Formats: sequence, C-alpha cells, structure tokens
Amino acid sequence: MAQSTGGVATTSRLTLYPMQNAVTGIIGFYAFDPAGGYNDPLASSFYAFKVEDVMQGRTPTISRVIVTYRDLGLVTAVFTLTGTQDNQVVGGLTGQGSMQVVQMGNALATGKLMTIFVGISLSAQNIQLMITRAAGAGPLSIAKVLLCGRVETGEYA
Amino acid sequence: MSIQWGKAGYFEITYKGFDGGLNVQEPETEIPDNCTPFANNFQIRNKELRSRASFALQYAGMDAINPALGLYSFNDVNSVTHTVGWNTRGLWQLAPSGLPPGALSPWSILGGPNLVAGNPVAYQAFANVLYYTNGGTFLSSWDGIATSPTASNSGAPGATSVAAIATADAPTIVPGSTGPLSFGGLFLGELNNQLLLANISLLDNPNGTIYSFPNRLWWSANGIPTQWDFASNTSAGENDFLDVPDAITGLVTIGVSGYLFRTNGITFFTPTGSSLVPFQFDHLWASNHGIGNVYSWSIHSYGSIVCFISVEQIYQMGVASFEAIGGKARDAIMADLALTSGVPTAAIVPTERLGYVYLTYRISIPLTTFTRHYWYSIEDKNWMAFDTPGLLQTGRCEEVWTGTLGSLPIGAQPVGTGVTGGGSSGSGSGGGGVGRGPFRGGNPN
Repeated sequence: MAQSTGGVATTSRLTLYPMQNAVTGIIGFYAFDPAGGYNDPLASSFYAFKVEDVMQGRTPTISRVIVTYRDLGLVTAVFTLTGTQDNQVVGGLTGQGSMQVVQMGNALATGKLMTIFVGISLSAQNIQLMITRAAGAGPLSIAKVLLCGRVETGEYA
Repeated sequence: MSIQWGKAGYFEITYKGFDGGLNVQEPETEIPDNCTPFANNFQIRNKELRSRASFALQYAGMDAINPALGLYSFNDVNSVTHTVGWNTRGLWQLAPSGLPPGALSPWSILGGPNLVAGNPVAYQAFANVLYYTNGGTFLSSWDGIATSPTASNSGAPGATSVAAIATADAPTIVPGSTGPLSFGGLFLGELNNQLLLANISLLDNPNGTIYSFPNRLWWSANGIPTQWDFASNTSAGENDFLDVPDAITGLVTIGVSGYLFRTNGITFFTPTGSSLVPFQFDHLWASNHGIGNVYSWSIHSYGSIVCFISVEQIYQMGVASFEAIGGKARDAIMADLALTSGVPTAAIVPTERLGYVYLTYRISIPLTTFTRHYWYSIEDKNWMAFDTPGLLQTGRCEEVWTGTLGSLPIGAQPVGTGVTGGGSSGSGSGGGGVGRGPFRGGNPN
C-alpha cells in the first residue's frame, strides 16, 4: 500500500480558530486554551449582576459584599456598586457609586475555595453589583457572592 | 428569590449557581439571580463565574496575507491522521513538528485549485478520502497519500473537478452545454454512501461559461464519489427545488436522514433504497416566509444535534426535536449579527482541548476590529459572550488533532522534507503538540 504524506499524532487535540489581525492582516490559528490559564492578556472581563430594588421605592444601603472564589492564582478584580435615586439621578446618596480594587488568590494557585470581604457600601435604589477584571489582571473564578444591607421598612401612608 | 430577611430591615442577597447566562430581554430587576444583563469574557464553568480561557496563538497561518478558510482532520487509508487547512491558494497540511523546508509556517502546501475568497470551505471525508469545495466550479479530493489534491476526473477528460460530466453526456445533463463539465457547490455532505453537493456552480470547460443552480442538490452514484453523471449511472442524480422563492443555504445529515436549508424553509430527505430514485424529499415547509437558515455557515452538527440561525431565532434540531435556543440572549445575538463586518460562522464544539469538555454551540461574528463569540451551553442551556480584540475570524473553528508524530510510517513525512525513513506504522506516539504541559489552572474542573 502506498505510504502517507505527512500526518499528525492523535495525542493532542485543540479547537482552532482561523483568525486575521484586524490591523496587520497577519493570519494565525488561535485557541481558547484552558491549559494556558484563565488570564487573557488582551481581553478584559466584566459581569453585571441583577439590579436589586430590594423593596420598590425604598432606599436600601449595601454595607458589605462577601465573595467566595476559587484560587486559580493572583488576580486583581474591581467590585463596583451603582444605583439610582428617586430624584431621577444616577448614583447613590453619597456619590456616584462605590468601587473597590481587591487582590485575591495566591501566587501559587491552591485551587481551593476562599472567601474575602469587600468593603464597599452604597445607599441607592436599583443597586447593581459589577465585577471587572482588567486584561492580564489574573484568573478569576467566583462561586458565590453575598450582599449584606439594610432597608427602611416603615409602611407608606 | 435570593433575598433573606433579618431583623429591622436587615437583608442578604445571595448570587450562586451561575448557570443562567445572558438575559437581555427582561428588565434587569426581573431577571433570575443567576443571570446577567450584560457580561463579557466570563465563562460559566461548573456553575462558577470564571474569566474565560486565554485566547492564544497556537500556529501561524499558512501564509502572511491570505485568510484561512477552514481546517479539518481525517484519517487516510493507512490510518494516518492528517490535519489540513485551506486558504485561497488551496489545500495545506499541518506539520506540528516544525517548519517544513522552505516554509514560513508549520503548514506545507498541497495545492489544488484556488479557492473562492471569503467562503468558508465545505468538507467531507468519505472512504478515507477528503473532499472539499467552497462555491467554485470544482470538487477536489485528497487521499492523504498523494503529494497534491485531485482536481480532475479521469472519466471526463478535460474536466477540472472530481464532480464532472464527460463531453458525450454534457448536452443531456445541461442542455446547451458543450462539455466536459466541472462543478462544485457551496455545501457538501454525505448520505446513503453518496456525496451531496448543494447550491451548484458549473463550468462548461471549453467556452468558460458558468452556470449557477442555487436551488440544486446533486448527488454522486452510490459508493462512487467520482461518478456524478446520471446519464451514465442512474444512482447519481439531481433535484432542483423550483417551487420555493429562495436558494439553498445549507445542508446537514443526521443518521439516516438529511435536511436541506433555504432562507425560508427546510426540506427533509431520506434514502428510499432505490438506485433510480435514491431520495424522497419532503418540504417541512415550502413557505415564502418561514424558518430557514439565513447565515450559511451557521449550520453545524454534532452527533444527533444540529444548530442553525433563522431570521428570528436560533434553533437546535435533533432526530425527533426542534427547539428554539436563543432564549433571553437572542436579541443581543441578532443585533450583532446584523452588524457583522464579515462572514459569521458557527460550530458545535464538544471539547476545548483533549480532556476538557465544553459542549457548546459557538456563533462567531466579525465586527470590524474584533470578533464577538456567543457560546450556547448545550447542557446548561445558557449563552455567554466573549470578545477577541484585534482579531477577525475568517472560517469555522474546528477541533483538530495537533500531536507531533514521533514515529512516522515510511514516507509519511511532510511534503518536501525528502525524508523516506521512519519506523512503525500507525499514528505514533508524539509529544504534546505545541509544547503544552499538563493542566495548570489549579482547579481540575
């Protein structure tokens, strides 16, 4: 039987994407490769949570955010609370919002679930939490988020 | 409801079990706790919210300037696996062990006819031979053994395609033609041991006249992928769908049946067992307006699952199911599709790499300066969006083999190396492709 021309071994398999650089035009084959980690050096990440009115028409105050995450290595994440006021202004009673930059994880990833307290607070209606991670800021994997706060409970006349 | 109440107005809101994905079709206050009104570059991994895997260059392109039009892996008759790719210059083979002599990338050119720019390639392996076309007037093949693809048909001298009609039969097959005729299509598949070409372009070789049959499905003779002349072999044949207002926009086969897509409809076909009339065709709906496939390369199948994009929804189809899957992310996907700057492509991808399962239907939309990818989890039924900045996708993504052959069969060397030695046959026991080590994410999930 005639012999084959070239070939590859079935020991390694990837989902390859044919791509072209939008500026230089250079061609390449790329992969979302988990073996390369979850820290894309060029693409930032963000995730917005549900908007919470807690009790419609009342102004709650979020006083603490507790995050449980998986330690995949050092990562810097930004936690932001935004909201609105009943005078139709975007922002909280004490400013536009509340933001905190938090470093999480260990240089040598443990793979363990860990919990961290994020000290942000905001008094506003329609409160929303957003988490962002800058490009190359590390791998982030969140398992659970807890918002703690209070809201006025008096009944309307 | 995630709010837990304590005393004097104290409350706690918990977000967990992140498997809801994008929801842009309800007020942000009304979406489920596990959904997001907007997010990017976070993937859902075992209900954790994880920054997506790094999108990294694995291999250089075939050349510096011609966009790749697809890639694929198949086994030849020697059980040697080949990973091939295409650009407008033709067919190329991946040699992951390094650069073939004279090459600037790990791809060595096999050649074949020039392909149509901008059209992703349709490909089909049949009897250990790879067949491919992309809207031009040819069907080519490569067996993994020859040093270049086959682009002609010995049964039709002078033809420039594996799918061809000899001069003697040309006027019968296409009235007014001279022959020999060569043809290809936009779509290629296989059913009942017969290759299927759809949305046909046909060249009358002597005079260069090109005929277009956008509503035609043409099939080869049973078990003979080089015989397309139904004047010579009655199990070959064609069917023009003239009772519909549009053109064929896709083709897929599942098990023992096939589906032919148009912009506004779907036609179901099954083998009859007769060689004279090998297929029974039934329009699921032959409508002027209806569910069909509007993005030609959105159709993709995995096992019994097929996904495609209609004008108003994204669908998943199975042997006995038909399900809308756009969910609450549909409007965002459709809005981006309407803005695409290139050819959107889609694929059902079962694994990201060997051992890392992520069964998703992935729609990739080039948007001038970046590509936006919407991934639908077949298992969790959610959508998430990823951007790949600065990069435009030019063909369908595909799972391919990338291991380096450690022990090549005799002669199984990259084109042009001049190496004839080797060891045992088979696919060898190469290393880890591009030098990847073991998974180092810290989390085996």
